[in-house]
Amino acid sequence: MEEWVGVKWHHYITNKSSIRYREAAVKLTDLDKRLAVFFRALGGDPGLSIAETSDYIHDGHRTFLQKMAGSGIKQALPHFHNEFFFLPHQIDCFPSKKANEALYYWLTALASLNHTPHKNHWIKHNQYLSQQILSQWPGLRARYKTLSSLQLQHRPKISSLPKKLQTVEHALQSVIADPWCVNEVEVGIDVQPLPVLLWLYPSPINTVAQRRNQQDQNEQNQEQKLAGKNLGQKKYKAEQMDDRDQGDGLIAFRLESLFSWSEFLNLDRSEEDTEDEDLQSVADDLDKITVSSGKTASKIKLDLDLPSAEYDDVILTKGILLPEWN
Amino acid sequence: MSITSSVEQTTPLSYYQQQNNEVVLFETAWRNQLPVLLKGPTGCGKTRFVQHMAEKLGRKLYTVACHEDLTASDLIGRHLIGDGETYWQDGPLTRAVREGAICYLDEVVEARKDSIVVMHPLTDDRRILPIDRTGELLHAPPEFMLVVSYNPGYQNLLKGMKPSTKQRFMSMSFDYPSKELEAEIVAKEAGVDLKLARLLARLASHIRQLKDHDLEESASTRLLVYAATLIKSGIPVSEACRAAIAEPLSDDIEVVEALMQVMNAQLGDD
Repeated sequence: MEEWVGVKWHHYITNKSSIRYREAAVKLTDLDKRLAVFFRALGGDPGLSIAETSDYIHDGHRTFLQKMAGSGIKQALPHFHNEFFFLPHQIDCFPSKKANEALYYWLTALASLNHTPHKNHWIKHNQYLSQQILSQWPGLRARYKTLSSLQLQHRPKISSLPKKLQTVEHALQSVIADPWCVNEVEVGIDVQPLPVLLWLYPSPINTVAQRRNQQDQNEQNQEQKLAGKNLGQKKYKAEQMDDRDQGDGLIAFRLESLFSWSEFLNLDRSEEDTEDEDLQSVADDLDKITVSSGKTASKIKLDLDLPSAEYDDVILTKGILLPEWN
Repeated sequence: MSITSSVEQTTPLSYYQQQNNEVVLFETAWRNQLPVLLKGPTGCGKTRFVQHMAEKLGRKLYTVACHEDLTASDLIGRHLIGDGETYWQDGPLTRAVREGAICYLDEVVEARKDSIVVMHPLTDDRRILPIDRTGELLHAPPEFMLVVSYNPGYQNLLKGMKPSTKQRFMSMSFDYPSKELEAEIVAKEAGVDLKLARLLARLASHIRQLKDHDLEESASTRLLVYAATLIKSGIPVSEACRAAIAEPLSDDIEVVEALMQVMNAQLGDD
């Protein structure tokens, strides 16, 4: 009974906290060939392929309901990475299929300018891209108007936001409504608004921890030479770990965030400076290395080949599934 | 030897927008009895150029669209049966030689090898056309000119033009005109306003980026003229572009739909 109530509550609160129109969902797989031709015709780099991205943890503002439901933590955001332009695998944020499809085309049009938005000037850069596309492709203006008004309905009320977010949100909504408006506001390190569905994101998706880490590195601005033997070219399965700010959830501590010793290796160079050999042998033995984005991690240099979430193995769900041979 | 145009211009010339100095080059070639080879993609104006030049020079034009079953007899002529006897019927090439006209062989690489060989004696300084069947040897008058054309994009190993044949001609390369020039051509040909013509020309330049990647052929100026003509006749823009540009360019429904999206992005959804 408790479980049943829990499931019901979870479904209720999740639906309440997020705006999804499943009946109007459009999948990238249904459009990818058209989008690729569209992308190239508008001037997109023919060497790039369009692929689907999985949800990324973002550190944008979440509403009270989302915090309560534990939702809105992850979102698939369009971005460039290596030889790919990544689009969400599905768009269902608008009430009509036509609008969701138009959003795919709009994002592809923005990407056809072959610009990755600058992480420190994300709003202005997207504003510039929107201006360019709307002036070069006047036929998209009517669609943009529809999409922007739908997007503005999704944006939080400015008065309901924390003070530090209000200015950014105000600027952001003005830019969405009119890309030619005068805007001097940019996102700060700790001020992240709710992701904008109509815009591109820097690559890789920037979180607070990564930005802080980068800032620290800029301050230090000196090479940390790895003492001892060379790590060689061994490639590890690795994951990027964010020091997430736990202040925006109702549950202060989640048990699953505990790492076992075999997964998490705290490489604090200030204390373990002489233990390179041991660390190397431990690293050799590990199947997976988790790299923290905190200060300690900024001092270690490992030659890592980070596979992105897009390359996950395909999970078999269709066809005749036979039990594994043993 | 110099020759001059013998026919006075009474009707206006077919419209042709010069891109470089091709008019002067062609005229000079005609005056000096040099055969001409035109290279260029489909629908870029090769045939129109030859038609324009024939009118300008006051020469009759014989156009032959070459195909893989075109034989030497189709060009030179053959014996036909009629009224209980056989008689000789001149082919277009022979007629052009006799009349001192311009003979234009379109898509010449499509023709069979034997029909290309009959052109050889006409393309060097002999300028003769031997007719084996009748034993006649025709000497081409100074006004006669041989013009051939082909689309290098279609070339393959089997159908390429032999280098030795190519060297018998003076060659001129054609390409799609610049955006502004193309807009002028579309506006004039279809009788639409320059604003619409500019949008169509801009659209074509974007679609041309897809050549060899998503499309085998580019959107030709001819297709733009078709689209503009349909729009002028009252067909909605989107429908006209679908019928005149997207559908002729690809049979793949996904590509057609993508092209329609590009057109809508340029011209609006009506």
